[in-house]
Amino acid sequence: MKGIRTVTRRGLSISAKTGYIPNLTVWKPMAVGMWAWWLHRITGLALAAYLLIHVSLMSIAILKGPELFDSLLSMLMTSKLFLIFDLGLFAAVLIHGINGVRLILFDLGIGMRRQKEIFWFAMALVAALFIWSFLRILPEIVR
Amino acid sequence: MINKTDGTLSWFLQRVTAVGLIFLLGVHLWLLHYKNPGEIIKFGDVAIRLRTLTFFFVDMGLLTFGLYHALNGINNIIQDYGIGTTGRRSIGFILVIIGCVMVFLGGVSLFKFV
Repeated sequence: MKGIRTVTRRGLSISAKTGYIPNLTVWKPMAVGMWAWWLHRITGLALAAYLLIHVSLMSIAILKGPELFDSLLSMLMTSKLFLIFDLGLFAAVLIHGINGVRLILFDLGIGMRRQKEIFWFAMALVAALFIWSFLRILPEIVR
Repeated sequence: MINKTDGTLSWFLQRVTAVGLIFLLGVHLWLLHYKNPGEIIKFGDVAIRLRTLTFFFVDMGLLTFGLYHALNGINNIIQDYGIGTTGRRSIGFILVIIGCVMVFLGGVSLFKFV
């Protein structure tokens, strides 16, 4: 359309007609919905990358036979570093999964007017479940 | 209505797989990580578990639902960056190939126990 020029800079669309140019030098706190959006994306990408590695590694270990599978699992599950990584992975699953339920509720038209409250409730649930898992795994890490 | 060409089918399947994964991942994480923390998983235990039809379907569901949800999610993120039609088709094709290879690899290893 004549008179409208769209400039894309780091994924931001700036319309010359409206005269709206975001001031990137001024820090404005992100809205709750934006935090939820970023958290969902980052955890989603991390989980997708992990899934591809996990499926490849486990499949190859199974196909190579019991000796390799048992030695690999024994090495991983007795490693404190892996157990800590596993907790981080569980945190990502919780954030992505519970925030995903929140998104499905919005798709169904439930809770749209209480987005902030539902986000904080979801994060409280994430924290509670993470503390439970942490306390369950902690004896294995400090052993 | 759900339409293949306007993206509503992929949106719908992303939600269906998400709901499925909540249940399937819950079973997977509870049994293998949190039911008996510290227990090292052995090949023989996996073989016994996967000879049960229920657990075989749980793992097959995890494999297919997980890969669809993950790869379609990656595709959605890439589409947000405004690539052209050719780029969109190429990336979609690459992701489908990755998905097929991973389902084949995971499927062959799961069928080893049947």
